[in-house]
Amino acid sequence: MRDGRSRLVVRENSRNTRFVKGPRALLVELSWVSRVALKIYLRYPAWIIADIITAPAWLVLLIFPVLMFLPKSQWSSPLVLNSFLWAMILWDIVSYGLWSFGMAIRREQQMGTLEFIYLTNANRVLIFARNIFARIISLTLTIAYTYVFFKLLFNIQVIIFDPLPVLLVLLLGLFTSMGFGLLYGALVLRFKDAGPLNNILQFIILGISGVFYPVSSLPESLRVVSMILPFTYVSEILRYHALGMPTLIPVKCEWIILVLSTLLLNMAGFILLNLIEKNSKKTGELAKY
Amino acid sequence: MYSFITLVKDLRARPRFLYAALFISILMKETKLFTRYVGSLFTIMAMPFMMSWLFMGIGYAVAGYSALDNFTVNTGVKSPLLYFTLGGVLMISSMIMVENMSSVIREEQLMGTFELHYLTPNNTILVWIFHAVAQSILILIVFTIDLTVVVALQGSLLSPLDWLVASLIILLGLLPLAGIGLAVAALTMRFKEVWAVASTINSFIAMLSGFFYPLEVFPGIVRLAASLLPTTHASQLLRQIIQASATSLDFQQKIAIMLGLSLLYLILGRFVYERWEVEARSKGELAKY
Repeated sequence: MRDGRSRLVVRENSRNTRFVKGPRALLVELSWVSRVALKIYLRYPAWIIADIITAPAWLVLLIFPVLMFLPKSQWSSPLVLNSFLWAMILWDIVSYGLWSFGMAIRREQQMGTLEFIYLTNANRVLIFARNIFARIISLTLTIAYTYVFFKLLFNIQVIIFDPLPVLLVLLLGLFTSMGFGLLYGALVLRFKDAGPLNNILQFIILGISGVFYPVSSLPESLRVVSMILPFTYVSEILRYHALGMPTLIPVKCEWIILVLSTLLLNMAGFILLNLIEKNSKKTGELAKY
Repeated sequence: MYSFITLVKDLRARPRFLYAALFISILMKETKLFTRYVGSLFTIMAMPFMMSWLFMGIGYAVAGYSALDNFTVNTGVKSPLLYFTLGGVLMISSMIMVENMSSVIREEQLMGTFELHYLTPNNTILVWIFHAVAQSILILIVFTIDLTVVVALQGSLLSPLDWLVASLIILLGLLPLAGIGLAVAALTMRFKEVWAVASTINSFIAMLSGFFYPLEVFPGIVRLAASLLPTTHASQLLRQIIQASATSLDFQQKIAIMLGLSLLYLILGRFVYERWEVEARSKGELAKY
């Protein structure tokens, strides 16, 4: 009798399941992954508070060493300080690519949930890129408190010549970072422990993609390398629209390169993820970490 | 049966130098953990150099040819590489110390090994302090390579006595942080998010210790707060030792202050930890996480 009842329940459950297909399925997935991302982000309020409290300390720690290279009369130069303000925000975007998006797959693997994700028919990119929703909120917060602390600490007027393109390039930068992270994350899935590499890569990217200074001040050989990195265009375009600083090539071309490279990165990340998934399923290395 | 009795007898036998044996076993354990992840070890070693190069790169890009002269005027030191690498060594060491000590209870609890310490006849406070000393020694060994490289790049070598003094200074700068870490570990057990608190403390220690800039950039009240940190005195003294510019009065004064701060913070850490321990024992919370 008991068995009969449970069979009945199972039959009713499967009958009740509503399958959705096409764009509607994508929308449903999108809505659920965004809920998951925000739930995880808001689950640890201590980290959100710590980020806000520590922001002025990190600002001082990173800005003062560089000010040591300038004469004291230039320490309060609005252009220098504004460059730092945007650099701190750009740093956040670069970090997302490595730590947030890049490590998303690895984290699922470590928590033992990766195999379950691969058992579903959900879109892989959406699942692994879900952090973009939390990152949009966190980037908005970063901009807000960095702005407030800059005003309080250095008493400067924040310069933004064209607010709309600035907003657009920051948002696009997040997607660039996501594409880079998906590509990098797929490699992490294959080569496992990426913590040390992340640290080293972060410094290299910060150094050569013009986050803290225009790439025009780099030596010729390094400038060529920096032009390959999509983050260089995010930095260049942002400085152009925010501070009116000149770009290396015409700004329209930089926009085109940035949009194309963002699309390419995301597509390449998607393809590589699928390839590695197929390969890992064949070799049985999916759950191995 | 025979072997069981022998085993029990062996367990009951107390080593002649109990605390020395305990320390050596902790040191061996920490060494094993420290050397298990070669990639992380390499990153820790490379981090002070990477930070130095980043600051120098930005500094030269922002200030141009007069960068070095400005740096000498602002800091009183001719070599930015020496200045930043020494600061980086102390900053990374202090961060490792605070983070490891702050998470000591939580990590052991998560691994299920925390209660096991209470089954041994050892004093738990001493066990954690020995962990801090062992970690300090290992950090010192790792960073000796960094310091040797950076001093050799200046075209000089330190005498064995100078090395001994420099090591003592780093040790005295790090040990009080173990007290702070222990207090944080006990205080934050209820909130579970120990790492967020450790990161907040680390950011302020890093900002106030003058690792990368002279503290004269701050107003008097901030300098007063900075003087309560052992790392502030350690960074000033270490720079003087490496540059052979420390006067004996300076040296004695700062060593006395650091000894005083070591005692103060270790006693504070012990007090907070013991209070937590008594409460956790009475409520059965030792193993709860």
